[in-house]
Amino acid sequence: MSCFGLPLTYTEDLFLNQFPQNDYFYFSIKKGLTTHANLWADVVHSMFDKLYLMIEVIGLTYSYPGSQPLTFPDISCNKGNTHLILGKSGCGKTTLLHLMAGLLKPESGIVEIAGSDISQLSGAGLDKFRGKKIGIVFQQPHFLEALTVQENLILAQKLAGEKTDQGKVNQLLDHLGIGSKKDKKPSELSAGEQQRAAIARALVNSPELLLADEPTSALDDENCNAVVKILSELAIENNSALVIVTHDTRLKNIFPNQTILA
Amino acid sequence: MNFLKLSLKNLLYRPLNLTLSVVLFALGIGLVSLMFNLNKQIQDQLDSNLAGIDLVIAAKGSPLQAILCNMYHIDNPTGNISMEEAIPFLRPANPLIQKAVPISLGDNYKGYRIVGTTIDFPELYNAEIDAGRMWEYDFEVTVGSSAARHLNLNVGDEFHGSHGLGGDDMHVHDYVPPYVVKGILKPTGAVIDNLIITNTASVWMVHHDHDHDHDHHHHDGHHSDTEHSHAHDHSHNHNHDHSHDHKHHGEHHSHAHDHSHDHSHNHDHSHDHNHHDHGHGPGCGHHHDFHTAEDQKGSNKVEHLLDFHGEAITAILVKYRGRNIQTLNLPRQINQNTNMMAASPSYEINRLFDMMGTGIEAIGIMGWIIAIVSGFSIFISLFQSLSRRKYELALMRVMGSSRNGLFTLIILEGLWISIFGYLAGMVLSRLGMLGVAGMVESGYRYQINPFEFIGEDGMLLGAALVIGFIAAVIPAVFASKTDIAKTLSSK
Repeated sequence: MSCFGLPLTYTEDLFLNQFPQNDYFYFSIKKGLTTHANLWADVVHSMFDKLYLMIEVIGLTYSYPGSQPLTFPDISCNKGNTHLILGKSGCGKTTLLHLMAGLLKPESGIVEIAGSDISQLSGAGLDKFRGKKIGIVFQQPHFLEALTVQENLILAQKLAGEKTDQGKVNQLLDHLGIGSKKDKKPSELSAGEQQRAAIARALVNSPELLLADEPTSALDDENCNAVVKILSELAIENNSALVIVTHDTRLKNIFPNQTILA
Repeated sequence: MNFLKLSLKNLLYRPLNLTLSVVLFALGIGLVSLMFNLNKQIQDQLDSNLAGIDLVIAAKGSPLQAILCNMYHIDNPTGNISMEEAIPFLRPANPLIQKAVPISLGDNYKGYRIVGTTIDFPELYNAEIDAGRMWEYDFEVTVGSSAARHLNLNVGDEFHGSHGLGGDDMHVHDYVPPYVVKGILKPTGAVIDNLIITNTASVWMVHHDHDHDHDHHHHDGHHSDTEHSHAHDHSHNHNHDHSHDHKHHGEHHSHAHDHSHDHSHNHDHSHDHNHHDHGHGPGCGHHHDFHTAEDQKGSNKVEHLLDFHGEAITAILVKYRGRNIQTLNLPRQINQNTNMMAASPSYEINRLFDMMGTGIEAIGIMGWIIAIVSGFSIFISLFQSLSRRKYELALMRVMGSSRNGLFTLIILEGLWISIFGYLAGMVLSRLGMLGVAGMVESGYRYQINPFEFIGEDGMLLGAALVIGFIAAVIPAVFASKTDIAKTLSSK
């Protein structure tokens, strides 16, 4: 939502995100304001826009050896906002996600996360940055199989260089409804529970940027809605920017901020 | 959740893979450790029983056998040497010899050898009295500490020896007075701990009486005797004058005999003598039987034996006064000019050690080979785990771990396996030593400590860690080079 950048409006953003068919309602608020107030709203918006900008991708290109270079459109997403990157398989969606996560190095362009250009970081510094500031949810939930769900979350804290925060782990797992499964091995959980545990792992360090790679494409409608709801709710609670990369057209109508890759 | 714990959990999550690697590694380490420990224990036992003995004089035969029999008490005697030939070496006046200790073997009590000797014998091993006193009179014994413990012998106990050197109880000498335990020795760590010690005369007596009653029994090496005394005995047809054949003993022993007993005795005696190729002292048993206390006094001293020309002993342990050209020539002179054989313990033991060393070394080489093969097995196991865990490794990078972190993780896994393997290997080698100790104990009455931790075992831990590290290095490098993006985008 690019109308109000104020914290108070987050709930409203969520509200509108949840009911995209009621987009007109959002515009009617603007319509109802006086021209003067409307102007002010736009000024305030542009001021806070920069302040609340969490990720900005500018002029990004990448090329795999022996194939055409990929050029990506500029993307930006604010704290608490959700941005959808849509595209068919093979159009470089995952590559873009990996570039944004610092897992790949761009040929050119800038990936700026919370004010730092991650293309300037490298080695262990980039790894630490990634662990602390970026949470990633994969289509297939991955875990360290030898560890329990809880231990996986604690390891995520440790590896990011954060202190172990058992309270946060418990709260997050409870919030996701899998608090009772925290001492189980990930393989003992159902597919839905695994996906929620993976979301918990991605969020355990309160990352500034939450990247989701096809989080819903393997799920039925019901689970799809549940996961989308959880992701966007938690992104708002954590004040994270959420970027979802998907070919799942069901999401198209849920999140208005979209970039379509060709 | 540090890497030490994480690597351990990763390993424990696949217990079968872990077990395979650990067992193989343990076998290798165990065998190598077993080699080191066997080597050490054998060397220790051989060394501690050298007891400063320069020469063993025994009947002609295998010099190694003579040493093993008379110093280590694990083999049969090469035969007997007559006192006539032995006496020159036993004389305290001998200019070359500081100490000459006669050894007379032939009997055991429940597998523990009864050694007829002099008071110099315990002194060789610096053995001290723990309870009671040293033996003084005939049929008194002093018992080595471990023999006393295993046989449950205390001061004042009585027992009959059995014939032979093994514990097979072929038969018991129950027709002579029993041995009486007069003292128990403190532990020395040497072979004397496993011996029952008495004076030489007691061993002689047992065998004379024994032989006359059990002439059909086969004997493996005790006191042979001069032909003439038997013939003499026989021709005299049990005239108990004995003036002729006992002229050497006459001053020392009273000669009161039971006639009827002597009759049968001498009869059998000669018979026995003809039957077997060795005979017995001319009625010595009778004299000893009726020793007066006065006569027996000092029977544990070497001087006491110098007049027993007709008897025989098994060997003499010799300590030189000093080493010079004469002592250097002494063994050769004995070997050439007498019916006896001189054997040098240090030379024979080195030879023995060389021979055994080859076998022990073979165990060690096998151990090292297995350890190296198990290193390969760790390598393969870790390498396989990489492809299985590629998502995990990529995920760890996503969660903030550096390349070095992954490298460390895999190295730690290799080290854990080697530590577990080492510990299990130590258990295996201790079990092996326990088995060896049991065999040595039952076969030779030697006690070895199977749970000793020697310096080489500590060194092995280092070797184990090195093997574990080397085995893990290549997988660790591969892990650290995991291409996260490629891994995560591969479905």
